[in-house]
Amino acid sequence: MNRILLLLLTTVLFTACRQKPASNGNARIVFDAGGLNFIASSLHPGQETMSALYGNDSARQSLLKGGQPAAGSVIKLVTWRFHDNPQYTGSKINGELLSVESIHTEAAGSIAYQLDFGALSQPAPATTRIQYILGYKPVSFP
Amino acid sequence: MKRKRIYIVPAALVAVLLVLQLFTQPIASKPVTGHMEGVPEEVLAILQRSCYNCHSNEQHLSWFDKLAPAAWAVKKDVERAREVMNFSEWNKLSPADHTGKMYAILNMLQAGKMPLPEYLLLHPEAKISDRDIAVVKKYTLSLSGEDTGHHDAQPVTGGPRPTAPVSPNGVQYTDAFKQWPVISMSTLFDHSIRVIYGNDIAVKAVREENFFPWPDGAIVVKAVWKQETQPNGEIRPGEFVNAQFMEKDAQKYKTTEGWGFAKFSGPQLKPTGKDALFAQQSCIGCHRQLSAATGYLFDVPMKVNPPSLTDKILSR
Repeated sequence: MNRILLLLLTTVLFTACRQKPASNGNARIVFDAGGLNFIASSLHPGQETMSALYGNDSARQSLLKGGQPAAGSVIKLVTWRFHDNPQYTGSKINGELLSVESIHTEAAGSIAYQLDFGALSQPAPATTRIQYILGYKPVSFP
Repeated sequence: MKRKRIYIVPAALVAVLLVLQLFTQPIASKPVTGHMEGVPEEVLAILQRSCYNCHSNEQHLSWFDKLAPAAWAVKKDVERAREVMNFSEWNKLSPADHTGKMYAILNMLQAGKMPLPEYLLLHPEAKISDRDIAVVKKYTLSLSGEDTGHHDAQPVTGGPRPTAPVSPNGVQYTDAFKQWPVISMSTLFDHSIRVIYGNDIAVKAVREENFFPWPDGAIVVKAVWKQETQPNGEIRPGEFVNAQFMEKDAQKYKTTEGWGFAKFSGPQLKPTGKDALFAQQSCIGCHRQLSAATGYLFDVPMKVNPPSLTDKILSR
């Protein structure tokens, strides 16, 4: 009996100090853009939102050139609420996922818009959203 | 006989202590090259009272700090503290770095990480009050308004970029991150906007909160741009500033908690650091103290979304 007690105490001693992530019922999510890559981002101070724009190669090329996107372009705009970074004063970081919008171009040149998830902070007609999304420029890299 | 025994124990202890003193090396004496300038007196007074004894070349140690074995710990702390930040060599830093260091100080004080709790046990006069933090915060926040910029937000110009630059500690740059998932997005006081990418191992670790420790092979890349304000008030990434890498290899990067740090700046992706020690001097100090809860990584996604969300998004 004493040996069992000793074993239990030893186990507690060696596991008690191991750091475990705090559980609040929520999760740390990483948006899965499927086969799309990150193209651009934005931050809206007034709406306290941050957005990431993803797309395929065709979309990237189209956004780089400007104008109408080439047929087969797929773009997703993912918008999050931002917060003061709890780990570092002076930094902001994205938090709750608010909306996922997507557009894709048909072979005939028509552009389809869809709100895949959530709601927009400021609802707008599809044409306005398409124009806004197509206004993004890919981020620059060396 | 009993009386003799009573004296033997303290005498032996004294003898051991005396012997220990023979193995004590003094803290290296270094000159003061330049103090902080233009800092409010009350901010300076707080730093001098609570930080200077380790983070400077001007130690005013108590007698018990100089006594082995305590002296060994004090020496180690002072050497590490001087590496990270030295108020007696403040002139060696750029104005942008001054701002960055003040933000680091503020965050350390707010998190209660500095002064070290074990130091405060014997030096209660160094304790930081809420008022002290408010004073430091007010001054620090005023610095970012001056647009001096953190060192990160200063683009480096130059000729064409090499294909695969390597950091002095062996971390190699790769363009592959541009195809990786985005873990999070952030901004910093230096008017920069950032996107944090992760390879598959890193993304899996984030989703599973596998932070203690992060698995070997995880790589996280933070791409940094200057903020560019649009006519509608939106902020978008402008000029590229740098790409900051953290790659996990517990054996290779033992001195920096298993993380290999690297920063590749400007069009030439110039690696930061003259030698492999740069990460010990300018990276791990903050990461160790302020982001231990997430395995020494800042900018992991906040834990604010329902777990079902990923499935909901994927089902569409």
